[in-house]
Amino acid sequence: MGARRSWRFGAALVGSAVVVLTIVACAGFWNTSPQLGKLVVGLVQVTGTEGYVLVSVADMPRDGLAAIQFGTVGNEAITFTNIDPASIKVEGKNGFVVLAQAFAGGTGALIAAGCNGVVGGEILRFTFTVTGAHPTFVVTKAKVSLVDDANAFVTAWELSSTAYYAR
Amino acid sequence: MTRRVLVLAVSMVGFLGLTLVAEGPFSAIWEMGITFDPNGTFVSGIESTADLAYATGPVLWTSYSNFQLTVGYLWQEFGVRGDLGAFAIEGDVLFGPSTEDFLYAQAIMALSIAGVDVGLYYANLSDAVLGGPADGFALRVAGSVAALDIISITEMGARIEDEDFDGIDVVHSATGLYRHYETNPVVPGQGFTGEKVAVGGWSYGCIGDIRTILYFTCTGFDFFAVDLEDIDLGIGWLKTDLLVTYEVQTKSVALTPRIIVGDGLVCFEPYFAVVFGASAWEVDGFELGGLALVCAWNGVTVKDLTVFDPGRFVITTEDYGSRIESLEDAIEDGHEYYADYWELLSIEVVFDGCCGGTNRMLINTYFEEGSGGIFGWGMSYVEASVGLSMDIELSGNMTVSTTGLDALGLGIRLHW
Repeated sequence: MGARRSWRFGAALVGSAVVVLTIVACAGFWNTSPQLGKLVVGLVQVTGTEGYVLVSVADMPRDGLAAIQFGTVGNEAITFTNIDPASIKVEGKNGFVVLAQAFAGGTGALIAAGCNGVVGGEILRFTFTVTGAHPTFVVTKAKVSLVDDANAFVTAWELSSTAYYAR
Repeated sequence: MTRRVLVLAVSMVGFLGLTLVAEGPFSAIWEMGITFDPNGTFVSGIESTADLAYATGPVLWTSYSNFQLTVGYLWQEFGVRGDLGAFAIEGDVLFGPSTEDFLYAQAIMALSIAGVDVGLYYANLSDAVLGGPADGFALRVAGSVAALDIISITEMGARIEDEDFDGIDVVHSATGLYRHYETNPVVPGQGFTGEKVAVGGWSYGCIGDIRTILYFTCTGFDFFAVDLEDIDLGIGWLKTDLLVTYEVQTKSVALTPRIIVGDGLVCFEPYFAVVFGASAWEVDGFELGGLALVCAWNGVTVKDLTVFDPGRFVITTEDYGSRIESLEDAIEDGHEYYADYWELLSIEVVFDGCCGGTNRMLINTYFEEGSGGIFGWGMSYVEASVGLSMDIELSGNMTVSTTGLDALGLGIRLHW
């Protein structure tokens, strides 16, 4: 009985030490890398025949994002399926204004700029009519240009379509 | 029809009955809203939130659930608040049930000893959130020596929301909805990541409040700032704030003049902006960018907001208080605003209803330039809520613009 009690006590002590060491090792000691600027394209949200996509930014450098270009006519950065191109409306958010847009035949290009830089938050909202099941809205990173509030190109950034982001 | 009326009546009696039997440590608030879009999909949105709270002695356990039409089960948050002896504890855990993900957790423990406040903050962000995985903790010690307030924050991979730093928002990228927390674990580095010491609370001569902030990270000095507030320039109607920030290679000076109109202008609040000249040190003048008139009497609130410079000031939406705010602050704080409307006329009436409830009626009318409507009318938003009792409230809202009926909403709120 004495040996069993000692074994239990020792096991409890070792277990507690493992828990404490795990917490100490994990808490505050995870190496967090410097954050790149992020362009986040939300998943297509559909209600009946109407759909929308939110485009947001996070961790933009300096004083935030001031302008964005999604490709050019003939070299579009946006591709979409099961979406009526004639129905696409784009609304600027957080001070962003759409300067030019062209959507046709499953591809699209757009330029937008803001008077105040946006470090984190929504910048564009695309609304449209859905013409089929499972519409898609995809952005090609290589064809997108970002400019920050200091009038410099943002070169270190990542494109993502994850469900959640932190800002 | 008779059966539907009977079912509805029984349901209403049942809900009313719940409010009568609700006693003890458990409380809940359930709200549901349906939005109709007559111009497109008939039902454009359904949102339901449930706030539950259960008290066990000095500790309160909470649960928050949010459902959206397009996403389904969006947020599930569990929380705890309370006192355990001398310690004040606070904890939150956030899940994203629609994607079956753990998202974020924070724990805060605070203690006050001999006038010194000590707080330990911990947060964890999962890899399901872009920006994670990340975790860390921070130690905050605050106290007073004579007239000075001294705050020391030691960062071990996490940062605390305060005057100099923001907390963290976990955002659902498809809908833009977010949950905000005080402890931000997304701090680059490992182990010790920063130390901030702030000393403030004293005044000198014409300076109303002096505060200094020293911050350095694991790579060395980051910034030193001197924040002088309420500097009296000897001109009764003009005061200014001065913030001087020294960084490794730069020095910045921010001068914020403020017009003091005193208490004589009943109901009026002007919004001024400084007009700078060719250089940052030239002040050409002051511009009246907006004017707010808000008067309340006997449950009736009349509001008239006018923006003269829509490039500097905006009117925020109803969700953000329907007030004039600088465009820069609205963008920085994430406040939604009406970019097209320059004037708001609002009347709100609140009065007691029967059975202990409160009734409320709100009419907001917006005007824009070039709308084509009479007097430049752009949009009207009407909202009404009826309190059937202290615990049941029905509400409805309607948005009408120059294109017709834009949206219609119905809602119900239960509390027990």
